[in-house]
Amino acid sequence: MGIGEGTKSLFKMLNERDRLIKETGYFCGLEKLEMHDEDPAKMTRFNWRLTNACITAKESAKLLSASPTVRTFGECLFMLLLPEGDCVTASHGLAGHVASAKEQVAQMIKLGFEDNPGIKEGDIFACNHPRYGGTHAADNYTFVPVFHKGELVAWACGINHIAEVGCAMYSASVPVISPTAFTDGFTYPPMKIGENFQIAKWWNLLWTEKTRMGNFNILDSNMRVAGSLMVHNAMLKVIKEFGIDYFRKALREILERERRRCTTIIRRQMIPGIYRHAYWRTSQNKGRVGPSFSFADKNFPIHTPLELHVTTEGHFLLNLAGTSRQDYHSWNAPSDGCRRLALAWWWIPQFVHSICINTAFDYLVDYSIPEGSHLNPTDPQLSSAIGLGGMATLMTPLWSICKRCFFSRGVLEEDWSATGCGGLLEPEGVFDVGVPWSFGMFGAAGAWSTDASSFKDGIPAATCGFNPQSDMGEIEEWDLYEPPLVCLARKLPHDLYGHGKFRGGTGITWVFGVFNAGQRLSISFGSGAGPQIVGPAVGASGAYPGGYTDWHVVFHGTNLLELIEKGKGYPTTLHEIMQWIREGKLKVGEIEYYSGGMPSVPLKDGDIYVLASHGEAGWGDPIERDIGLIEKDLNEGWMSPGVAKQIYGAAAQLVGGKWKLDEKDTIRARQAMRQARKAKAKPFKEWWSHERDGVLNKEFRDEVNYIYQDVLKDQKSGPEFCKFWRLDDDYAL
Amino acid sequence: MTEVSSAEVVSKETIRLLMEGKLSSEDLKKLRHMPFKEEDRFWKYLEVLQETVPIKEKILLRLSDHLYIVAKGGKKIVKCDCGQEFGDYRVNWKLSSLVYVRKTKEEMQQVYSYLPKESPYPEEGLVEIREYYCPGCLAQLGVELVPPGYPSIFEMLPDIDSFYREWLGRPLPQEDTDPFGDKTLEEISRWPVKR
Repeated sequence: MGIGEGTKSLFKMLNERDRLIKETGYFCGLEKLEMHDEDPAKMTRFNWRLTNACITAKESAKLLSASPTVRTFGECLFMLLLPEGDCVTASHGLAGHVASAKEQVAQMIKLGFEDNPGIKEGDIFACNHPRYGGTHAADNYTFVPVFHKGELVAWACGINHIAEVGCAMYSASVPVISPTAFTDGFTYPPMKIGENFQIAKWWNLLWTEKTRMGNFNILDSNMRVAGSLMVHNAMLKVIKEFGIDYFRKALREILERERRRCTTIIRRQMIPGIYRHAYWRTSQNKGRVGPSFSFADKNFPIHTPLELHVTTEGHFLLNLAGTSRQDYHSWNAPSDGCRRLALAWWWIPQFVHSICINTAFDYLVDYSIPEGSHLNPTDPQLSSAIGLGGMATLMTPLWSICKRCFFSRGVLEEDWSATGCGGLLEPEGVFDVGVPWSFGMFGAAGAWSTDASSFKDGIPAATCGFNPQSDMGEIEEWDLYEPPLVCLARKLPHDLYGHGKFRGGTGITWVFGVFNAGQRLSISFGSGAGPQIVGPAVGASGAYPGGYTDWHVVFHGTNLLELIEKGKGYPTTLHEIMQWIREGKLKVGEIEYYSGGMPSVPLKDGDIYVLASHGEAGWGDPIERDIGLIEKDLNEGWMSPGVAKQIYGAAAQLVGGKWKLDEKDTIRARQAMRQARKAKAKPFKEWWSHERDGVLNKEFRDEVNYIYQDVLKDQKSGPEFCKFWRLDDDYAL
Repeated sequence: MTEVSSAEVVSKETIRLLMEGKLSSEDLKKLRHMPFKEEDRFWKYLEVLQETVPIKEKILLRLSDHLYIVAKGGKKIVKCDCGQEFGDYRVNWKLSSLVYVRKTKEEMQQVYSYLPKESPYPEEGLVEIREYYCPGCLAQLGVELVPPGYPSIFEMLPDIDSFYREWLGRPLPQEDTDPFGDKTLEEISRWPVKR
């Protein structure tokens, strides 16, 4: 006898759900939305009760957390799930996790949790393991079943990103270097962590023993349970008010209603067809993993080529033929939870404009991924420390594709996109008094800039793709949790964006100084989008790419402390730092550069760390930029005169302290730039023929070789590559 | 779930102002808050384009600032608003363009303006920036950021017959006779090569 509706087992309910949508095309076979049709006002009231319960849970429970990542940034989410796992509605916040919560419930059902360990009223379950529908060790999920007269009628679920996961190589929540599953930190499959609405004592002991920030993580765990119980209790009241029959059926009708809503939006804004994009990065392991992991001591390129088919039925089919192999890096994505979370980050901001953030859209998306690739790994011992990040690279391409379609359909007002960058600054150390500490700072993740649209420049520090309710927070609060690392300045500098007729949103630079480093201090930068990224932020319609995503400069051995002590001030941007160095005011020793994610770098007193983040892609040919806009950029400090001249062909002069463009001279300069293009460019066929020689001679760097080896071995992408370059069928690298 | 009337909110003039970036933020907000975009938006958009773009053929779809798919002589071709034609819309238009490639760090840093010249990025040999120009007006039509040897990316191939027939309910008078698909590799297969 099962615990589901009419004593059905959860396994049977899960299979019926899948069978019905396959056979009928409707969620749970609901061709008619009877309850919506009979009394729409009652349904709206019911729906808001559910959503409000989730929002209230989030806004109340988050105050239990000690971490500003949750309290300020809002990196948490509370959800109401069907017994089968589908999310019906959710709070605001870390919205994409609706898709992975669904997968984790499905995993518990498939693992037979109904029989062992059993699911009963008052139980508390948890999971964070990417192989079981989780996303990475940092994202921790708590599930509380909602029972009515012995029947499981729903799940309440809470999730948040914790401060530190206890990984082996160094302290972080998003460790960019983790060569195997055994260095990923504290990961746990679905498990029962409490009964009778009480958390087991061993659970808190695990956090203390397995992570560097046990107290923070225990408070976060309490927060997730408290919020889930709030949703649980609210549902009992809703059932009492509306009746269990209404509750059961209405939850499913909401999902079918939202599936239809999304389908309508797709048909009004997209265009059926084939869309392609490329994205790749390199995991910089070489010299970072030590002799114990010699097999992982090299750099791993990670390539994610996307071919998206938008079908005439309004479905999205992703083909990832040629994707890089699984390997000894953090980016292997071993479950649908990892993969579908990342896709939800794409479709929620583009299509789910509703009072319900849920998983209805999930039924409109499917994918084909080569087995043995990093996005469909077969080796369980490989790391998935950033399991969600493998597929998260598709956010930017998918947003770009939507933007193209919206532009072509005339729905210009919706053409929003950004590049998935802006990760976590993760310092750790030991204070002078011997107390170890570590923390993850979400400030850079909380305020992405946006790409340019077809009619206006991108917006600086305005959004966050994975958390629609995020906030970059108060720098003073972040400073409080990482005392030796003091933020000296946070600015929007000139020229840090993709150039175009409309330029991308200006990126942000952060300058940190090290004061009282203690016995030990180091920093790393965990990037959800990727280590050393080279392929995102591609401009549209002839614009240039964005500002090279996140990149980092570390200045060791500076005289910063002496400058401050003597009242001589300090530089506040990278440009100023370089200028001060040239002028001899700032003395520096070694300088290190990193791009994308940054492995752990030791710091000492007086060191300076600069993070440059975002700087998004442009739209259109830069030499078509409006003269008035360039004048404004120059006078407001968004663009340097050199860039205005070199990239935009602007003939600008300072007149009475204000920049003024000469229209005629600018037109002449731009005409000359067009002629220069003609002189330096080749007809495609001529260029192709020349490039083909290089391909035939296999003149590739090792990293590029690695990428093409995987492209060539795939049955789809291999022949396509060979046909494009007219290579023999047995061409190999 | 109520749908805002298109006649009330979205006129051709509104679309024109939207394209020019001159729509007030209030009106822009109204458009964004529509639960669904009105069904006839695409037709109004095409009318505005046909009135403002110097292309005499019937515009079927706008691809980018300068490129359009137009109906010409019973075929569907890509055409620049300067008059330059790029051939069958099912063949990547880049094959008919001019190409310039930034390969060195210095060449790439010119467009990554904020990067200090001392920075090792972008890494030569790992990435290159390809610029595609219109042979007619020399407008920069597309930019690619790819590793050397990467096949040119055909970013958008609309299934235009199905779009008009099944989504818009107005089939095109002359649909393609062969099945929808990418014809780029077929075109390249005809090019002479050294062996």
